[in-house]
Amino acid sequence: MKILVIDDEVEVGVFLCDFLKRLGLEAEKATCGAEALKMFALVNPDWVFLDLKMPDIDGLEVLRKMKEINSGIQALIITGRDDELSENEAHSLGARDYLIKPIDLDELRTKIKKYILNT
Amino acid sequence: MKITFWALSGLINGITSTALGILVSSKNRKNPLHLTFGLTCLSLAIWSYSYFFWQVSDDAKSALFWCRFLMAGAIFIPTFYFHHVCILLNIESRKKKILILAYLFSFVALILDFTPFFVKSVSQKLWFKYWPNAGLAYIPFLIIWFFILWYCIYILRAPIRNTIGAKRNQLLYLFFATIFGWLGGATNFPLWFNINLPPFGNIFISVYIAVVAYAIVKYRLMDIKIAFTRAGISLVVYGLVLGLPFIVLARTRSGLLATSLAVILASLGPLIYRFFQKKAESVLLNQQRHYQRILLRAAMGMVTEHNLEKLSKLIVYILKRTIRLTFAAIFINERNNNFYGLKAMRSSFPIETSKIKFGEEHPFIYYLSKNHEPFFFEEMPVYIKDSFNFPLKVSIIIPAFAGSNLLGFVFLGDKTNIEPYTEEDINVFKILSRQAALAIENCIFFKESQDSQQLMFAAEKLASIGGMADGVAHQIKNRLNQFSLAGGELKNEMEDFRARNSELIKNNPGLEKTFDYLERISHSLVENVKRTDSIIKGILDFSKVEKKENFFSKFSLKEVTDLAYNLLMVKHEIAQLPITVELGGDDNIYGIKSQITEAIYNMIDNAYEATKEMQIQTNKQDQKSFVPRVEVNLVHTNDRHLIKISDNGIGIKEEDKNKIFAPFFTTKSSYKSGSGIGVYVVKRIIEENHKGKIWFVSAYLKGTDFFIELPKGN
Repeated sequence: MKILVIDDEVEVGVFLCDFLKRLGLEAEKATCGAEALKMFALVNPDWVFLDLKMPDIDGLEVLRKMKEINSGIQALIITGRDDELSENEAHSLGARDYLIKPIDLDELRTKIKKYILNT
Repeated sequence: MKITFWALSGLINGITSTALGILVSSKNRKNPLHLTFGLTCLSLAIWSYSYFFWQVSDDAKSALFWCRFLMAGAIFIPTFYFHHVCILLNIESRKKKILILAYLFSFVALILDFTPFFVKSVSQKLWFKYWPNAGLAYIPFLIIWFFILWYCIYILRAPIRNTIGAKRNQLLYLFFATIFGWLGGATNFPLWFNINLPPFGNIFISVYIAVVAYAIVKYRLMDIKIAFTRAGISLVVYGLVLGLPFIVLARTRSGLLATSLAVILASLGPLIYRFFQKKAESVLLNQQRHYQRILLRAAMGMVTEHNLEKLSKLIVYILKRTIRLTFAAIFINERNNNFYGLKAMRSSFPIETSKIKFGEEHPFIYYLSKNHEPFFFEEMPVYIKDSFNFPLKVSIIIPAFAGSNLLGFVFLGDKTNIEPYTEEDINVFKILSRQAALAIENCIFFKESQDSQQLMFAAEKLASIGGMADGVAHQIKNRLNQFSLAGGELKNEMEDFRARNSELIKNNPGLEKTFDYLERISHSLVENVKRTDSIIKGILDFSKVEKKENFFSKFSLKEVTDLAYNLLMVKHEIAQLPITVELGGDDNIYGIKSQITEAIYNMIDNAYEATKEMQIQTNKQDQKSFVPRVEVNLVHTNDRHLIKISDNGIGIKEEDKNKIFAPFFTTKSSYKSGSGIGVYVVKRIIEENHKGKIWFVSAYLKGTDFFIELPKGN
């Protein structure tokens, strides 16, 4: 299972990638929309963990583009934006879940087990 | 019975004294000034009526009787008058001995009056059939009698020299009237001693009474100069108008000529009078009219001044300088205070002015509510003058009303040139007071609109900061996220290490301890992140102004109190609050969540602040330690929720109880405590939007219980 972590904060990517590797998953990171799309084409991940607030393109727009390239892509939104509107839009674009920062790694582990590891 | 001119003079004197005596004493029966004048008039009346009856007597016996009776009246006249003058000059206590002597003298003379030692007999003198003859005791009596009279005039001289203004005017009237009247009355005495001088001056006594009554009753006296001038002009003009036709009649014996002349002169009379009066007064009043013009011009300039301080100073400056006064002071009620404070004063002598004010309940203020026009200080009732608290002698009071609202008032001292205030002055003040009221209202309105503008700016600033709340929260959430990830990863890394190196750790208890400790640290990190997050969430939720503000729903009161708790921790910057929440099993209530949240937050905040104030109080008094307590309870009945917020704080004072729900009312001075609008808003939320009820039970220093009742809904 390959996961692409997209967040404009570098350290989020570092921590989450290490975390995912501990769980036995492959993980790559990108820090902006453009880079994310480049990596998407390169890595061809199964899942993306996606922040919505990004310097160049909005996260949902990135998700939309990714869906165009690969409609089967699974997404987990990890954002500080706590409003219903964005959540609904994310779900309508096919995101599996919508998590609000700050993230508790224990909770994230539970979610990953549920969606990805199916245990 | 022949009614002669002399009899008539007695009757007229009697009628005038009776009428004026009643008029003056009925105006203020308790005032000793009026009373003594009334007594003087009474003795004068007795004297006058007896004079009349004496003059019309047909036989010697009744003539003698009436002579004695009229002397009974005459005996007391100077004594009562002397008493009156003493009261007027405020020297009653100093002259007590002389007063007692005078009364004693009068009573002795009264006893003697009905003996032949006083009035021996009556006999023919000149054309009077029954004129009295003096007895032995009469001469000494007369001497003392005249002495008292002279003494009255004597004690008037010094005060006249030493007083200024209206009082001086009053005394001058009295002085001249006394001399005039008594001289007139004294024309009666020569004939007693066989000096052939008829009592022609008798009628002047009425003149004297009239003038004295006028001087007492009317405080707004015409300037005595003007009075004399008018009297003089009247005499001349009407003397001519009446006299010329008579002279013509006497000389030419032509009735036609005389009558036509009379008619012409009678029609011209008033015009001539007015012409000369205006001329005379324009000369006398020139100086006054000059400053009255200046004042009126200044009045118009006042309205352009928007600063209340400057306006007040301007008003007193203009008044003092233009009219040349000893002082001018202005009091204004600002911002619905419950008192009128001294706003500005200009005075020839320095005075401590900071503490001078009149409370709204002061009898003087009540008096002003009944008197909207400028008036003399002396006109006020004695009890108000006595309770008056002002270091200088006030002469004129000018109230400034806007409609029925007393904005303030001006005090004026005496004019420095000793002149009294005239009717014209009063009229100018009337105009001035209206202009001043307008100008003051302008200033107050201006200040209020400035203040509300400042409030608007402040509110705008807060609103914009509130608008940034989302952005700030977002930034902080990102940082918190880092902490959370970092803490979580720290824990993960250590767990992995432990798993991979269990042998190493088992053999190294020190290492185990370190790892345990590090795990604790990471746990603490993550936990604190969660706590911070919930506080931020609470603030954000609270600050959101959602469109669905009026949305009724069922929600948990616990959520609301938790949120309130968090907010209060933020507001008061402490970690723990003495707040207990007992909501029972079912804490669901029905209402508009955001508004109930605001209401509960406000009430708990107030309760907590009350306990803080109580803490300060007990610290001041070194009492045993105080344990603050705030409790929130919830009870349900069939159709209502009842929320109780109780505290053991400072409680509400009796005089504040009916102001608690008023907007902008607050007993707190701390800037953090807000504008005082909290409880007012809560009441509106509960009563208007939820159709509920809010009330409280409280006692000062004993604590407060607030009750909020909400109707159950579905």
